[in-house]
Order: sequence, then C-alpha cells, then structure tokens
Amino acid sequence: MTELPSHVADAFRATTRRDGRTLHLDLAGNADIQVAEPLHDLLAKLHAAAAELGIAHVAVDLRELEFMSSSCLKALVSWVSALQDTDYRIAFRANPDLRWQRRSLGALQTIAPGLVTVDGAT
Amino acid sequence: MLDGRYHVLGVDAAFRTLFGELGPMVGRPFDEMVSDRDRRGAVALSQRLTRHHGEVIDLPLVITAGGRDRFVRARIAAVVASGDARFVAYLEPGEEQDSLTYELALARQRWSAIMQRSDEGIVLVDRDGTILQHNLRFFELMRFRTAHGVSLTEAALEGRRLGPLLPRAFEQLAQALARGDDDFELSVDSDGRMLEVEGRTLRFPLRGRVETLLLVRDVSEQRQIEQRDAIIQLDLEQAAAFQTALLSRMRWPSGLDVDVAYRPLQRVGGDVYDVAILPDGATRMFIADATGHGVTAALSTMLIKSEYDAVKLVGSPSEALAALNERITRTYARLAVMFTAAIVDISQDRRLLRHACGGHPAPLLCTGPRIVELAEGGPFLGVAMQQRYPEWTTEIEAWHSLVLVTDGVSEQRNASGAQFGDDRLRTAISEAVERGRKINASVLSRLDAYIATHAQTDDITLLTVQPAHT
Repeated sequence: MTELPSHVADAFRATTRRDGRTLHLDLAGNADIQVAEPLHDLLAKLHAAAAELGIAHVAVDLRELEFMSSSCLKALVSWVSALQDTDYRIAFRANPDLRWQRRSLGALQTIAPGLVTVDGAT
Repeated sequence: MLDGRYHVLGVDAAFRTLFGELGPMVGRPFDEMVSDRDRRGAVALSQRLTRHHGEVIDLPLVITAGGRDRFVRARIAAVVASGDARFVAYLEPGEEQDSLTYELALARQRWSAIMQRSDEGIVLVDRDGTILQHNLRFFELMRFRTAHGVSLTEAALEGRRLGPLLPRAFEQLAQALARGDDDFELSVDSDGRMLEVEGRTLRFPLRGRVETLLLVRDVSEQRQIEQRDAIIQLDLEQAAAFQTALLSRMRWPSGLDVDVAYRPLQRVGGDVYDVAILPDGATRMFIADATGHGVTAALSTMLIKSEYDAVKLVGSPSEALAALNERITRTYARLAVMFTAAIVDISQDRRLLRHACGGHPAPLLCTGPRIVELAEGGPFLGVAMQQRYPEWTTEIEAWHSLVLVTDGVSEQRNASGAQFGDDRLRTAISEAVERGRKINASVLSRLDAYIATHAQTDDITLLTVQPAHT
C-alpha cells in the first residue's frame, strides 16, 4: 500500500490525504529555510505516490501557511517544473490576505500554465 | 574467617549478632557476599584481592547478609594458623545515610567513576609530585617513554614522581610542579598534537599544599576547527569585499539621488542591485534576490550580476528581464539559480516609469507622503526558458522617490514571530518622507526597533532613488 508523506515541525505542518483520484496536501505555519529539505523530500514522495496511485489532481491548501522562504518556494518550483512528465495537475488554494502567496503563486503558475491553477490569490 | 583462597570458613558470634546467620555462604568465595547493587565495590574488592601482598585491605562495601543488603566497612588481614594462609575479615556495619564513612565511600566511588569515564586525562599528584591516582586517558595522552624511547606501561606510573617521567615537550609543566604553582594552564605541542594542561592545587590552611589535580585534554581537533573557521572567516570577508566592489561599481545618474541600504544576513548575501544609464538617457534600476542565503546565494549574485551586465542595456525592462532569464537558465541550468527580480526605467525627463517584475515585490512610488504600490507579477527567473515578463508604464507628474526592496524587509519577524509586513514598510517610508528624513535609514531604524533582539532572518536591500532637487 502506498504511504502518503507528511511532515510536522515546530512551526510547520504538511499533511496529505487521499480522496479518490485527488490527493490533498495541506501546508500550515511557517515554512522557514530549515523546512526546505524536508519539504523537498515530501514533494518528491508525493510525486511518486501520485504516479503510483494514478492521481488526477493534487489540491494544495496554503490558506494556513503564513510564510514560505525562498528555499521552500524553490522546492515547489522543482515540483511544478516536473509536472510536464506526469498525468496529474496541481490546484493551489491561496489566502488572499497574504501578499507573498499572490506574488509567488502567480510566478509559480507561469512555469506550467494549464497544469497549475491558483485559486484565491486575486 | 577466610581460607587462603578467600573462601568463607565461618563467622563468629559477633557477626551473627550484627548480621544474622551466614547460611549458604560458608564455603563460598568471600566476594560473593558483595551485593549485586554494589558493582563498583565488587570490582574494587576483586582488584585488591588480586594484587594483595599482605597489607590490610580496607574497603567500604555493601554485603548481603541475613537476607538483606548492609553497608559495611570491610577490613581483610592475613593471619597464619597451623602453617596455612588464612585471612580474617572484619565487617563493621555502617550507619548508611548518616554515616560519614558512607558519604566518603560514596564520594570516592563517584570520583572514581567520573575519573575513569572522563574524556580528559586526569592525574592527582601529592605535594612531592608523586602520582597518587590517574586515569587511562591520562596515560594515553601523555605517551610516556623511558630515556631510551621505550614506551612505559601504565602500571609503571604507580608511586612514581610525575616530573621525571614527563616528555621534553612538557618542560613547562615539570617546572610548574617543581615550583609548586597553585593554578596554571599550559598549551603543549607534543607529537603533532596540541594538548591543554590545567593544574589546580588543593591547599589546607595548616598543611599547605596537599595535592595537585592535573587535567589534560587534546585540543588538536578544536584548534584545527578554529584555524579552519579563521580561514573561512577571512574568505568570507574577502568575498564580502568582492561583492561590495561589484555592487558599488556603477555610475550614478545626474539629476537623481540614489541611496542603497544593503544588509546581508551573513557576511555575504543573495541580494543584488544595479543602477545604469541607458543610451536614451533613461535611468535603469535593477534589483534581484537569489534563493537562499550565504555563500551559495552570494555566488548566485555574481552570476546574476555578470549576466545582467551583458543585457542591461537591452530594450525595455521586460525584454531585459527575459534576456537575463534566458542567459541564466540556458547557461546555468544545472546550478538551478532561481531568483526574483525587478527592473524600473525612469525616463530622462523623469516623467515616465516603465517597470517589469519577475516574482519580485512591487516597486513603491512615493508621491509626497502617499505611497503607491506599482504592479507586480511575472515568473521567477532561472527556472524555465522563454518566459514573458509583464511590463507596466506609469506617468509620474510629481514624485518624491521610488523605492525598490527585497522581500527580506517586510518578512523580518520579531520575537513573537510576527512579520514586519508591507503596511509597516509603507508607513515607515511615508513617515520618512513627511519628516524629510532619509528613507532607507528610517526604514531600517523602524525595522530594527520592531525585530528588537530577534535575529535577522533574510538579506535586506533597499534601493531608493529621488529627483536631486527634493
């Protein structure tokens, strides 16, 4: 059975769950630079799990994520950059009150247009 | 009474009164009387019996007698009966917790345990410099040899004076011991190792110097790390000087005042900026923020700056960002140099702004105390080729200043974890304009007051330009 990854640190939490052909990834807290490596690993595992389970959508909920360092953002960029070779799409759900999300998710969307959607960033 | 092999032959009436019947111990080795709880006592007894040469053995022990554990002072002495070697063991009950003997025994056991398990070499010498006690680590560290270069055994240290045994490298230590120095610390370079020796003397008011405790530690690795740190620090300072030189190598435009505040998180940072004059007389301002901090990010800034220098006179801000992205992504794909950037062109007549962003915070335009946040958007740089960067044009009739920042300004946090934020940044700029103060200095001052003792968490850059007449 495919195990879904998660990561819980002092001020950061990443949890995943499956709902049919959709995987949900909820990120919350502060994704400081210390979180970059675990997040990178988690996304790599999530990517593998999505392929193995035949996932069609990954829904990423960032509404509770207060801050993301550029190093963590780079982990998201790497993940999104690898989307071209996969069968699933990513839908980000942003917190409109957090400006960094609007800025960064907009930039992220341009990497794989059509494969990434952002909701709540406007 | 014990036989020649220290087996129990029997006990007297006093023993039965004090401890009860001995029971099955008769005929068993005496050391089997030692309680399982007193492992150290059992080891000490075993060592003393093994090396016994007729002296009285005197040890604190916990023995099991009469069905329970009892703390005793055990003294074992040799007697001769009918020509056979015999021993008599006197067992004197202690008063457990209240007993000074018990406390002393406990202290001795603790001391022995600490000494034997210490990573530092420990030796106790008396007032004459004779070795009283030492641990194995001390013996290993000192590498004692005879005058002919033959290694000494550990047993050879017992009862010897330390001074004459010391290798030549320890001459200062020998002199300190000979002089009777109270407290001293020495560094000794011995056999390619750096050892630190610390001496502490115990004195009593009437008896004077009783004994000296010497601690010896090998600090070679620590010194190597310190030396390496010093080299890294020097390298970082040189890198910081390079970065400063790189960033200050620009021509300020006439008619505009440019002010830069650059505060890297470490000695070097991942922010980079530039001010250039375009062929049509416009002023082009560039600011970028590479992923991460420290040396890696700083090296990224070298690449970014060098590639930007090659394209900075290219067409519009949007075209310049696209050209920069193309060069970085194509040339350094394996390095994954990801960064955000913004370019703002100020026309020669200072009435028109054109700007483009790539995932970077919006430029802030000050029209008096009012702060206008210009548009932002666009993809990151260094991630994918053939990216397009949106461009905006803004007419500026009367303006006070234009501020470009990296996200390190608003994302700094105070001790409770709250970010400085965009609102505080705008307020700080607005107040500086109203009070006629320098914007960068005022923002940093407000930022410092906000984060207080909390450490800076990101590189900070503010690039402010304003018409020279204001």
